[in-house]
Order: sequence, then C-alpha cells, then structure tokens
Amino acid sequence: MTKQTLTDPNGSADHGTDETRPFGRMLVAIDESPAAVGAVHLVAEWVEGPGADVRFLQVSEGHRQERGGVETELGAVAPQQAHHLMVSASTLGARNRQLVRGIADAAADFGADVIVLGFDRPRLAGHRLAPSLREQIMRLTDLPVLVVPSPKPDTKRHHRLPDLHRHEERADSDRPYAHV
Amino acid sequence: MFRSVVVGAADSEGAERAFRRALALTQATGGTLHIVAAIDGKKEPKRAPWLPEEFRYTGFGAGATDWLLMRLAKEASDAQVDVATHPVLDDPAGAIARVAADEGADLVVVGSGSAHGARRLAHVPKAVMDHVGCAVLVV
Repeated sequence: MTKQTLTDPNGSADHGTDETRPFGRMLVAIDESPAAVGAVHLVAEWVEGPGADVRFLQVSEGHRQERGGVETELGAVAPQQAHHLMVSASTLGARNRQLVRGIADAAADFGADVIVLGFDRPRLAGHRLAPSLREQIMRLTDLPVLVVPSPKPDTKRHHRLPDLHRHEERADSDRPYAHV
Repeated sequence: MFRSVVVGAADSEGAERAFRRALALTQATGGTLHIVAAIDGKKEPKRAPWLPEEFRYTGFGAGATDWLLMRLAKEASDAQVDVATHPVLDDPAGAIARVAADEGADLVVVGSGSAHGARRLAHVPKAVMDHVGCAVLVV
C-alpha cells in the first residue's frame, strides 16, 4: 500500500501536521456497536463545542450470506450524515485491506485532519487481528487517529454470545436439516 | 467535553508532538491537562534515599524529569490551561494508565513512532490503548 498524501481543498497547509490547532474536519468510521455510539456522542460534543465539519463512514464486514455486495444502514446513529462504504470481499484479509484503504481514502477525499475510529474491533476483524487493523490505518495515513472504546459493560463477548446462540437455536429448530 | 486530558512527557519527537496536540485540545475544550513523566527507578540516580520512593527522584537537584515537567507545565500555564504534573515511578504505559484511571481521564494523547519513513505503533501507544478505558488519540 502507498501512503496517503492529504490535499487540502482550499490549498492551505496540511492539517495532519499542525499540532497547535484543534480539529476542524473529522472523518468518523463507525459500525453499529456501542463503540460507534460512543464515537458519535464524542464527536457531537466536539461539534457543539469547538466545532468541526464531520463525515461519518459506516464500515461493515456484512453477513456471510451477503458476501459479494453488502451495504448496511447506519440505523439510528446519525442517518443524516452517513456515507456508506461497501465491503464485499470474501476473505477476512481482503476485507481488512478494503476497510483500511476505504477509511484512509475517505479521510483524504474529505480533507480530514483526524480519523475517529468507533467500531467494535473484534466484530469487524477478529480479536487477533484487531491491533493490526488500527496499525494499518495509522501506517497508511499521517493523520492523528482517535480510538474510541466501547463502554466496558456492553463489550464483553460473553455477554453477547449466549443471545446469539439462543437466536440460532430457535431458527434451526424450524428447519428439516441439522445446522452444521 | 474533555475535562481531563492525560499526556506523557518524554524526550522524544513523538512525545513532543503529543504534548502540542494535547495542549491545543485542552485549550479548546477548557479542561485540565495532566502531564505524566515516567521515572525509571533503575536509571535515575537516587538523590534523596531517605525519602519515600515516590519522592526520591524529584525535587532535589532538578533532574531531567523535573526540568521536563517544569518546562511543559510552564508552557501550558502560559497558554492559560489548567495543568497538573505527575512524576510516576513506573514504565511509561503503566504511568499513563495509572494517572488516566486516577484522574478519570476523558482522553489520553500519545505519540507514535516511525520506522523507515512510515508511522508505526510503538509499544507505549499500543499498551496504553489496551489498558485505558477512555478515548486514545495517537498523533
């Protein structure tokens, strides 16, 4: 991958290297997780305070059945400001690269001076790959990266897994074949 | 919005960049800037061995850590920012995480390193992101 070079639409200095001024253009990459809600709240506070232009970018790996072309909805998070990123590759590695490239490209197109990451990393990339995902984004761009965590009580995997299991069992019980 | 911002102080380009950014953000949002200096007890000379451990390395003879904290605190004060300094006897990531927890930080700002012209995520920002419960800005 080649490093992104930011171009300011107004022709002014590169925002990414100016540490002395607060952020004015924020690219916010979110999914539908609690971390996304935290990121949106944080950005909303920032907009109300110092103020900034904000672009939301929804990221999703999509469901397995929908590989080959999936565009998810932002839902109740910030429907007015959503911009969609299509993620359609069939392997985890390819999806990772598309995510990283898509986020960096969107930040460059927008002229962002910060990238805000508000997504649940284990859901998107698998726990073992999570650090490399954010590191890939940081390698690809010189922009500051703000990582917003999920609220701790809602992000523990063992809180979510039982619900998913119950859902699958109910669905499979209606089928004439065993779920493998 | 950021009532409590934590940043590490060190003699490095990344740490300096992080401090500049943290100062600008705190100035814009009106919070308190907490500057953390990690003290390596094995490297720093014990200037006052009769004192409790947390006071042995600061305040006597103005060592490198003292000067760094004083310089950054003065810079923050000159910028009309509320500032607190925290010399902590711990490794850098542990010191930042400890102060972030103690002060209820909303934001931690850390610098990234670079290798062969590309930015890389060094050990300290990685460890900070893994251990603090608030937002982390990597610059």
